[in-house]
Amino acid sequence: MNGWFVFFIFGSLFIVSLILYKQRGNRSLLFGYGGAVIYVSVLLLSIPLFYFLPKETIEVESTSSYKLEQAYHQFQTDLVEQDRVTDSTFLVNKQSFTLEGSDLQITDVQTNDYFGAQFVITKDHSINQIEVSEYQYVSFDGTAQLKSEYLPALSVKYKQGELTISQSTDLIQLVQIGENLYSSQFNSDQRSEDFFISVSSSGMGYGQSFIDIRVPAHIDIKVAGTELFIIKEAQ
Amino acid sequence: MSSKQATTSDWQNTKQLFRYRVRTQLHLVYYLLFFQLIGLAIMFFGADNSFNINGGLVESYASTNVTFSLSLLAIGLVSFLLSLQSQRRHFFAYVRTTRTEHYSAFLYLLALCFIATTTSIATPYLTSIFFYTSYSAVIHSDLPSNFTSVSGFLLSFGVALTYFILISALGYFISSLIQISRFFISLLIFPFILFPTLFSNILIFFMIENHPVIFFIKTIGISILLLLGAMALLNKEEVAS
Repeated sequence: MNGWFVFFIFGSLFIVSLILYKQRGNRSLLFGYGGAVIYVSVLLLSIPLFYFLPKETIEVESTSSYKLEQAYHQFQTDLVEQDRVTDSTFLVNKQSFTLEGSDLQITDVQTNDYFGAQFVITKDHSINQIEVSEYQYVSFDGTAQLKSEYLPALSVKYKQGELTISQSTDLIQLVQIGENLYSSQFNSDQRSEDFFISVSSSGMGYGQSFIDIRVPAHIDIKVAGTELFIIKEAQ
Repeated sequence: MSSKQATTSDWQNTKQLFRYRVRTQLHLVYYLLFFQLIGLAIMFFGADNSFNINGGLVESYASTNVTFSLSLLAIGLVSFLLSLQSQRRHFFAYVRTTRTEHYSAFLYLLALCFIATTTSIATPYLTSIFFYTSYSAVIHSDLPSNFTSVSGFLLSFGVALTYFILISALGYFISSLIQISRFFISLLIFPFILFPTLFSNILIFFMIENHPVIFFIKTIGISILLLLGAMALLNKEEVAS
């Protein structure tokens, strides 16, 4: 059952009733009000039906959003200033690529200002492949509480010495339960257990992404759109 | 003719006219249902849509307010149309005054308000069922928190019904004003241009109240005043041919 199906039922009901009503007669009146009565009774029947549905309710703790924000600032500092990120709380996507050639061209970063992504490229002596990790976080304005939110995922491709990062059309969802942050993308294989949907109203979130790109130290990096990137070397 | 007989006759006329409206003005019910269908469609598909607002990626979920607001709009439109029709049509030969027409219109509007309230209150349940059947687990249902208790539910129902009655009375009154003279359109618009805060003041007056009883008295009282005003404006005696 999907939305279009429901829409089709109601829409066809509406059109059929309207056609019958146009004919003007007792039968058309019967069908016309019949359609309205069916509509109203479907809606009214949904009230008792709702209470009989098996519900799996998990409370999303909003009180710990401040703690999570603190943790995020620490994580941000770690990522930019220190060598390696150890906190995996915000990790939503990690990809590794075998190195081709001796230089790396990073192009086509279709990341607009509103997405708020930051890139940290680190030259690391200890690795011999390219590792791209995506960290995401939702920051909230004002009084809004941290709830599950949809965020755009980034898609990363590596082909013929060229690393392409673009904004994917897929939306991932972050859910905070207790101290842990769950992502629908990270757990997409086990949808049944780890995928949640929230339809609560008026959630406003600002998605932020940190892209941690780690490359072997000997590689020559060429980057377009430099203000987004922080290039540094691992100690 | 005694006054008692006159009122009985009025009530009988009102009933006859109400039945006539039920038979002939089905399209008004369908205006309401059509607006609600749009609201339902927004609720069904809106949860997957995201909107970008400058400064960040913002996700707005469709809430129950969509259907409610659209229903309010539809009720306003329906009452506007109902008032337009009441003056120009002579339904039966025995309609002597337009007063009974007003009464039957109010009765019909009240019935529509009940339909609008019950359906718009039931929509979050329907969408919740839709989401429960579509996804494996649901963290938040989109039921407003006051729907979880019986008293909260009844209060919400009462408030929703009151707002519907208020909007229908307003639509009826404005329609009556405009039927008297087109000049009144400017009278309705200019205060809001001259005093920009007037609209927000009116909203605050109707939306924010400490006690439910005061709210009900205030809103229903103003609705009754508006309807009486509409009756006073359109009180021509008509002889139906």
